Amino acid sequence: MFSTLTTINGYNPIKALFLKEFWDNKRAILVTPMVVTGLFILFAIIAMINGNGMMIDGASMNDHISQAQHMGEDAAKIMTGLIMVSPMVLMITVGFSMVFTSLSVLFDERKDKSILFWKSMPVSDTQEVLVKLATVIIVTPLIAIAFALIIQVFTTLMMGAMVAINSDYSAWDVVFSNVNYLAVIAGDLIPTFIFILWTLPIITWFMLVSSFSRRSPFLLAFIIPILLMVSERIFFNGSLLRDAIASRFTYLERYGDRFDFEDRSILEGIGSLFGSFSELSFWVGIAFAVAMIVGCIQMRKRNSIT
Amino acid sequence: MTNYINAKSLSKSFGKFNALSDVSISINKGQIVGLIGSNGAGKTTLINAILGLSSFEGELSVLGFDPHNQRDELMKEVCFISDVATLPGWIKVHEAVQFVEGVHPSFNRAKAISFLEQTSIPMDKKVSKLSKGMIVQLHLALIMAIDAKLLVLDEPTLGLDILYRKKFYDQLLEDYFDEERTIIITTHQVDEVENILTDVIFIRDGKIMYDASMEETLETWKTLDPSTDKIDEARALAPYREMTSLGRSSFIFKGKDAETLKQFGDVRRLSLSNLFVTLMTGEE
Repeated sequence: MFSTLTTINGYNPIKALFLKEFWDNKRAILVTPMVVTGLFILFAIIAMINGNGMMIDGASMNDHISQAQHMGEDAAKIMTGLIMVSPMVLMITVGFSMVFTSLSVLFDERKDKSILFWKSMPVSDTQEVLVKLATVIIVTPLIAIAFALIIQVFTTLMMGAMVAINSDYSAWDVVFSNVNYLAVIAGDLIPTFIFILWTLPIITWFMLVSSFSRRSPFLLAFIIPILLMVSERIFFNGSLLRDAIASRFTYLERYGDRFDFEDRSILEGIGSLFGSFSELSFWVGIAFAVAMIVGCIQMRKRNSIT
Repeated sequence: MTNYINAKSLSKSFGKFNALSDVSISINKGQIVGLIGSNGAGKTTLINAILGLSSFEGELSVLGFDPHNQRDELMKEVCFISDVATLPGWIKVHEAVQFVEGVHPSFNRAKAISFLEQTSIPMDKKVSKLSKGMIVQLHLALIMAIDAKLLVLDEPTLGLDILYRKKFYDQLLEDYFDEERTIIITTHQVDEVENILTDVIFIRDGKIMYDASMEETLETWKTLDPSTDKIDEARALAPYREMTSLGRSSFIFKGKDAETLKQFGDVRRLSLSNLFVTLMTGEE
């Protein structure tokens, strides 16, 4: 199945464009999460042999498990919660990968002049830019989530093993039957993509910078907004831009208390994230993102070489 | 449709610099056109406009398309290899073949593979691991497997050694060209394309200086190596230009028939590079 996905037979331009981006950014899209997942599993095994398992929220996994054994109803939430946060390191790494990919997708092809080769093919700049965007915001996170699931399956098995070895309880009762698997999967998918939608104006800004930057898109992408923020502060005593950027993270946080144990289930907590779509700020961000993408397409149409 | 490219008063400037001014050309089906000029003469600018890579002023239609706004449609019928190596270093040979097959409706994979089999290019190597000559061969193999009407080659053999260059043009003629296609070659290595061209265009400072078929060119321009006793008589025929090399004079004539000239010495064809030098350096 994997080989039909990664080979081309016959005319299929969209698939070819996606594969091209995959080949080009393999390191960021595939190798990085694979290495992080491998390291995670390696360290977890060492830590387990060491005795404690992972440290989560300042307590060792052993402590969490022994706590969960006495918490009755909430045990399921604790177990599920532990599984959900286990790929955190991976997801943060992939976040950085996405930043770097979005800063290079429209820059590297100009730097190595391969844009002239791509432009000698019958695909439009619009198709190219949209596929690049989708590679950053859909393909990259989906592959990351596949690795997150590997980590989560491993963590579940590891916790089961620890319970079986270290306690008198059955691993089935405490771990396997206690975890809300649906919530784990929903927790991988929904918050990730909602967060991406909120930060879309930032991601597309990075792409826009990579489409016009002549030398270092990374530097420009940060210096331009910093200079604007400082000037705004000095000349107008304002903080519009700073607030707009901060709002990408703070608004979502209000909805994001997904481990609110008090009165909601985990699934309800995840579902409540959708409420953030009712914020005007969200739609303003989407509108900005659309404008940036239109800008990227125009830049690519004009700029053939750096 | 036999007219493939039609440009009327095409202009392009970068700031105050006029890269192209008032260029009008017409290129038809079945021609192999040499676009010849010094560095910075405007060759690449003209090519970029034809390929839809840059904007321009004036009228330009390529295979009936407006190149800048319909580039993706146009590229179904047009192929080009530009003056710099443009295949990305990270792509593997078999990936490049797959990609072109995926995006180009008239790409023939079997043909590309058979071209590649004639070379020593390994399918699983990355382009960055290939030699310069191999990269050009790979690019050519991909391009020649596309059934396109117009092929544009911008300094295709730049940086290649002489064996590859010869092979490059031989292959182009034998395996690719037919009367349904048109090829445009820009180069300043005039000698190596001279024999394959059907038409020639000289460009200088963004202007077209000369535009004629090779047949007409050979008919019009001749070199005479006069025998020593007839130099003065030959000079009396008003040659277009007099050249001296190694102490011998030779004359370049425009529009004189060979029979007349033969009375004064040996008549040769005027090579394109000499015609280029003659037209580009002299006053009218």
